Amino acid sequence: MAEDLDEKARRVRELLSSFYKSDESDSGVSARRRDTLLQINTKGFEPERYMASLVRKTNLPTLLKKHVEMAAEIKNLDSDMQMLVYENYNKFISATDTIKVMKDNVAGMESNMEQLLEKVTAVRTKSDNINASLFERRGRIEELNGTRSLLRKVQFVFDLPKRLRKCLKEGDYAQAVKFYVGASPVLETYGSSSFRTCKQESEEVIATISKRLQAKFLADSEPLPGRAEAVALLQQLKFPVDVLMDGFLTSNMKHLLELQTLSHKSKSPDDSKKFISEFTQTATAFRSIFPTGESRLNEAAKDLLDKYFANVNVSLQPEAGSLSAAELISLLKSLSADVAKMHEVMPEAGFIDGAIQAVESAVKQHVNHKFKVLYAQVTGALSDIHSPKQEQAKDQQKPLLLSLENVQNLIVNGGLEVLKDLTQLLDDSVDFLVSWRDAYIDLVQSGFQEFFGSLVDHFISLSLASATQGEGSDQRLGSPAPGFVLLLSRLSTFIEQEGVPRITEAVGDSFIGGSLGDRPAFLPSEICRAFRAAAEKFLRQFIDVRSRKLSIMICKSITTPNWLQYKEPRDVRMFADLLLDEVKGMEGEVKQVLEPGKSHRRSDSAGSSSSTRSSNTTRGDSRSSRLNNRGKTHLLERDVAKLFKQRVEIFTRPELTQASVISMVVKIALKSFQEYVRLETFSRCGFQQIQLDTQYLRDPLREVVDDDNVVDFLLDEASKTKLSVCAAAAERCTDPTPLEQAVLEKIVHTKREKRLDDEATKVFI
Amino acid sequence: MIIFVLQARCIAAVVADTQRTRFLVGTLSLREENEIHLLQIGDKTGALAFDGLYTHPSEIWGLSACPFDVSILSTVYASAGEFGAAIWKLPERARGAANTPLQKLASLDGHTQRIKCTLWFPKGKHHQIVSIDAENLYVWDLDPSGKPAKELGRVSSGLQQMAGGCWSPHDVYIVATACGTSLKCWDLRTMKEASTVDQAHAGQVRDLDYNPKRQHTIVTSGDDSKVRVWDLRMSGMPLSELPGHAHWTLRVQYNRRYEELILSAGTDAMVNLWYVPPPAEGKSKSSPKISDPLVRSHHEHEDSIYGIAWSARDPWVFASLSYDGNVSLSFVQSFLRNILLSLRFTSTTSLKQFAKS
Repeated sequence: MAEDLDEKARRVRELLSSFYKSDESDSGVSARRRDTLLQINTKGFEPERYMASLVRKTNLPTLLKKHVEMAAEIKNLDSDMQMLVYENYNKFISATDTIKVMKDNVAGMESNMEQLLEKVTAVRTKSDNINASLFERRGRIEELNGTRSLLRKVQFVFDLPKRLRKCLKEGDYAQAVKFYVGASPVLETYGSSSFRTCKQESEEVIATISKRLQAKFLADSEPLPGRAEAVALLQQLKFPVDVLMDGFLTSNMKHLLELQTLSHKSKSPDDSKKFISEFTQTATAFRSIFPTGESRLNEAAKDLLDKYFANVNVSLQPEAGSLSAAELISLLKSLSADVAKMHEVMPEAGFIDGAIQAVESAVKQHVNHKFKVLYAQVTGALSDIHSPKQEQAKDQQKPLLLSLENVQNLIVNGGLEVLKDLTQLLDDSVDFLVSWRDAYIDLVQSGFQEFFGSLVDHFISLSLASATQGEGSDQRLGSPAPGFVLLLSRLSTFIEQEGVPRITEAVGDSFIGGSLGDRPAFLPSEICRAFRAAAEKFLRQFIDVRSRKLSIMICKSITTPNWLQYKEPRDVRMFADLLLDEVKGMEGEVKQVLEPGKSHRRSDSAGSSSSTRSSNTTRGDSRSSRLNNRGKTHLLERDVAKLFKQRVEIFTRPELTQASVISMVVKIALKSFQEYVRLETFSRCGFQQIQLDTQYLRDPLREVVDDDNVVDFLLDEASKTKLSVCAAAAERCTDPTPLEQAVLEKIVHTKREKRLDDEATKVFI
Repeated sequence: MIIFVLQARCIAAVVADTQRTRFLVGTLSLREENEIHLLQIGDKTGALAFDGLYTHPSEIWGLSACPFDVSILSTVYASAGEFGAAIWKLPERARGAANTPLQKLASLDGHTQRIKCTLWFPKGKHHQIVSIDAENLYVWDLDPSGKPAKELGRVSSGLQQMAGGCWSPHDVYIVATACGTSLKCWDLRTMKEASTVDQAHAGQVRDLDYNPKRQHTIVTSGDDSKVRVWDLRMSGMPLSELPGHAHWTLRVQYNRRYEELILSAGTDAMVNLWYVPPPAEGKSKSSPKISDPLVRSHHEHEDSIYGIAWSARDPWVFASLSYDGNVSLSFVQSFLRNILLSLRFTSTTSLKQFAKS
């Protein structure tokens, strides 16, 4: 009995534990607590063996105790079960009730469902029936429907001319265009066959519409949206809008250009404003009318601008030739203002770039022109001097001086003026100039460089031309060539010493920087070097030509007479006067052109002349004794000669001063005199004639030559200086008996008087 | 080194003597006895010394030594209205005798004007001689037996005054003369003008010399003080122009061995040595460039110089003679010698390198 109970309790427990998983742990704990009873709660519990082992292992009291325990346990279990049953009984009952209600409801629903099924089946059968009956007609209906819509379209097309006309009458061009564009595919496809007349008619109408649209577009009075609409419609009609655009642009641009030219000529700001506003208007109008034609507008605007610049360029070269920088600046300013405004209107057209280019070229032209004009002025002035026009100026006292000053002024002032002019451009800083300031500076600098370079070349070519003239025609004594060459020399020196520094200074003041290349474009040192070399060359040429002329006169005077059979001299020969005249002529030229320069007259003449003389006397003595014991003395002589060796430098480097140049020429001529004399052999009278001539020449020449020493040296009386002309004649004379001093002086004196008289009468006449 | 003689105009190297450097100097003295001085460079001293003294009847205006006989020379003389040219033989020197008269071999008679110079036949032993006066050029045949010289022909230059001449060493039928302001070459076969350079100088042409290596190259000097080098085939423009002297340039002479060297002398009492590289033929031979062709100016003299002469033996030696009778012996500087010598072997040496070293 107990075992049954146990069994039952265990089953209940298992059931419950499977139901309430949370209890499992508690039961487990209790099981472990009573491990001896553990097996009781397992499935494989065998009561027999349990009993047997229990009996066998335990003693009686323990068994009894065990029995008590078990009985208590069983009691506990029973009460537990009772509790559980009580607790869950209500729930069972309610569940049973619920199931009962559900059973009743479902029974009602079933009938409803059956009704529904019935109805659905009925609908289905009906639908099947209809479907079957309609199946045959469906294709036909669809066909008919298509035909109907086609007919409608055809009707529309047939009605198109009428509608279009109506629209035309009402002025509803948009509607008309819409109709026409809608119908046009049909007309396109069947226009040649069935709808010919229809198409023709509608096209006629459309043509008038298009004409009217064009007229509307062209009418300036029409408001802009209307014109834009007209253009849009025309575009829909596949009318070539480009042509319209072109027409619009050309007419407008022409108008603008006229305006511009007008404003350019009048130079009034009002006109310029008008031009700009017109331009802006045109641009906006075009934009609104042709929203797609931006590139075209840009092109046209560029074209306009090009013409504008061409205009500017034309006005930069007026027939008069000279346009001052101020004018240029005003021009460029108005241009820059215009262009800036135009740029605002059309930023993509690249006005700024174009304008910069135009300004650049304009300024370049201006600079080049300025230098060209200056060069032409200078060369013109020079050729005026050079050419026979000189004759007209003869009545003036100092033609060379005047022309020298004239050309000097031209070069310096002209150069400075050009510079000033060009500086204005820089100072006023027209907007566009800023960007290429350096290039501009370079331009001006190289302009000067080129100007001076070509000037030097011009000078040299002039001097060559005059040189060949001078050489070929020595009989043309009045020829201006030598004086002109001297003028060139002076001019070159002037440019080197004053002109270039002044211009360099001016350039340095305002045209600093620049030099895009490695070195500055204006190289004053290079120019100065060229001019210095040229000046030296010209000076030498002048001296050569002049002294050659004198030498030729002297040569004739020496080689013509037969000196061995010369008669006693009565008077100074003609050639001396001619020589003095020639020297005087040259002096006139030189004094006009050159500065006096400092004369070192009598500065050191006393010492050196005395020493030369002493050296000569020593040498003369030694020579006379030499014949006797030559072998011994010649070494001694050499030493003595070295001791007293003090050369009189006859040929020094010429300077560009009056005294230096004149004495150079005279010195060369006198040296030639001496050399010619040395080639002759004289009788006593011949020698006396030379003595007379040189005596006569001495004083006047001493006046013009800066170094007395040299004149004395070359023209001294026979006895004193061995190297003088007279001494040379004495050496070459078979009987060197000089003329008596009194006679000599008397003849020379009367001759001088006579010459003075002649000159006085000449001046008087 | 300077040696004094009387006033003199002419100096000439004894061309025939290849053993010693000897010069002949002819004096120009109106009132004293004129002499021919024989100067020689002493072997030991290296200095000029008198080697002989011969009296000459009148003033000597021109002097040239016979190219094949050491003892024969020709002079051009004039004094007090008389003038002439003669061939002389230096007599054997008697010991102790200071002045020995020259032995006259032949005289060139027939000139109507004062004679300017005589020219010996340039090649080998040949008895032809040319004499030039202001208007005419004479060709003479010398008879060695002592008879008077026979005139072979003459040619007149016309109005232009001749001042000097040079017998072409390349073509024995051509004689070039300084003819007024131009340079004229005469063909001795036809006695006609062969070629001419008009306006060679702005004044009288004073002297000229043939380039010893180039047939058509002539250097001239003149009263315009310039020295110009001409190619006779291109007479329009000089090959090169040297500034010359401050006054007339009276003498100009090529170095016989080194055509680059030109010696000139003038009335400004200067002797100038020029270095003129020959015109480049092809690009392979690049001669050193000198910016200033003037190598050296010799200032030894005090009076006009009328005579210069290169030594016949030593190409680096030359003598110059000024009017007051100073004979100066000068040498080509060693750096220039080195350049010229090296140019003979290598063509690439630079002058500047030498100048630095």
